[in-house]
Amino acid sequence: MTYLIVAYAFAVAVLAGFLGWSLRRLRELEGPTSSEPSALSSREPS
Amino acid sequence: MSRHERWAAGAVALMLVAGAAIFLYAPTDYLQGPVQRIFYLHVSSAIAAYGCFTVVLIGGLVYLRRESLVADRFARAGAVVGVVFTTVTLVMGMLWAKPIWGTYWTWDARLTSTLVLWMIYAGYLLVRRLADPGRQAARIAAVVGIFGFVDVPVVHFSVTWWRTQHPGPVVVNDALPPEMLATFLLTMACTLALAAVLIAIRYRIETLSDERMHMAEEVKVMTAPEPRMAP
Repeated sequence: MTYLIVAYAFAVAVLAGFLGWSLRRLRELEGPTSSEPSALSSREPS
Repeated sequence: MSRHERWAAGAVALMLVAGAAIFLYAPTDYLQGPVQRIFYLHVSSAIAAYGCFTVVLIGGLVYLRRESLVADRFARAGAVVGVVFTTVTLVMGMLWAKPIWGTYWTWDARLTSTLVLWMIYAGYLLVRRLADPGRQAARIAAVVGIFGFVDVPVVHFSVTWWRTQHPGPVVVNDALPPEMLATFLLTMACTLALAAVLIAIRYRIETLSDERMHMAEEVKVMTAPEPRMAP
């Protein structure tokens, strides 16, 4: 019984952890990028 | 809630349904007892990993033929998700082996070829991480991904090609009672859905990372000092 619980606890931790980490990374990447547009706009030809 | 978060919530709900079937519906095995319930997610994870590595294979082939960035991103996404599912397969298998075989690990054909599969695609991810991003890294990774796939049929058929401690196929041989078969098929469908959602999320991450990298390169080029003309 212990091996069954440890096996499923491991699987849940790895799969849920990977899903949660991927969603957090996606949210970071989809968030607004404040520095890049300003860097681009500073190089606009006058 | 974004589209990807809704898909993730759906996949989690499906896995909870599979968990309920595994622990509440499937009968306890007469010989092995409760530990046999490891079977459902152990085998489903292995099949999900095969699916992910098939995505790497197709992505690699398409990339080498057309240099398609979409194919390369799918290959990257498939590799990382496949390594995660192979890790789950290996560790769950070891935890099942200990009470049944008396050891966590034995160097039989199925276990060894699965470990080799994990190492091939971990190597693929290492190539992607260490090499400078670009055509060269993508081409090398595509070749690794294509040749690495040779190990997938070796893993799958190892139990029939060689004498192994690992049991042979039980699903295709009608060795499962109907309740166990139904639970297995449900778990496999839910695990494949989770793998598909994970690949979709990772594909989006790869796309956004590429866009960020290109944007950063453009900024670097635009902000670089202009070369001075010689007098």
